[in-house]
Amino acid sequence: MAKDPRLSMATLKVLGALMEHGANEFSGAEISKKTGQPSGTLYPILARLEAAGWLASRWEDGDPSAMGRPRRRLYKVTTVGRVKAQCVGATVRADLGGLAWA
Amino acid sequence: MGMTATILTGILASILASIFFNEFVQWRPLVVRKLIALAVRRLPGNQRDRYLEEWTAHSNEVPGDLGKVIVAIGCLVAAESMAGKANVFERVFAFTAVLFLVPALALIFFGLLASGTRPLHVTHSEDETRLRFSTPPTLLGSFLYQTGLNDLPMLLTVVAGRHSLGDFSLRRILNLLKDEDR
Repeated sequence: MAKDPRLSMATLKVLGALMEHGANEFSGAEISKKTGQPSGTLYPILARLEAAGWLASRWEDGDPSAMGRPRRRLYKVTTVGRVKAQCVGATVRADLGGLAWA
Repeated sequence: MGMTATILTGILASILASIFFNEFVQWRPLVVRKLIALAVRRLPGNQRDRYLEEWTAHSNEVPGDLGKVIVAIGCLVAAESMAGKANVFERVFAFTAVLFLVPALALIFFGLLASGTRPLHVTHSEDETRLRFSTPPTLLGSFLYQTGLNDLPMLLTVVAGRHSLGDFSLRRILNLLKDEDR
């Protein structure tokens, strides 16, 4: 089983943004816009969460040559990620206060 | 004379700014492509194709030429971190912090040595090595643990590029809170 990811405030922000929108999938650019995290911070977080199985990603449907642009990679929270994040979120809320999605 | 010089300087500055802006717009796609290519080369071979496409798509989604360059620079930073290394900014920051903290580090080191403890504690796990001050069951050890100051030597591993500053995680803070509750 994959090791749980390191959790920083930025990681919780990313998880929160993805969990707020249920089963919706978002590209890195959209997540960056929602959370205010720059690409330099965002992608290591997404990679860690995906490696831990908390997030899943897939390429958007469509042929890049037909679309005339590269495909976006879409991320969503997995069931495991949702459960684990809610546990962590509850701890954070109890200790530090204020995570709406927890 | 003074007024004429000011007006001429202003005109010259606006011409130069316009030339610079046009040059920047022309060169921007190439600069972004090169930066993203440089970033993905730092990643393990099996991840390069994925991130080349993903990061190019990300930069395309961002409006404005400057925004795209900023995203591409961010991808460079991300690649350093994803390759498990501290980026150059973190290393410089950690080095500066170590310089400022030399007196505190020396004080703790010799304090632990004087209490008959081996000052540094090294732990190896499957994917990392951590360097910390020992936390013996003494007043100093307890203080170091509770304040998290036992993690200070980790800055040396950041300077060496072995860890990222992100390794000082929220979980550590939460553990401290729990420990204080006990």
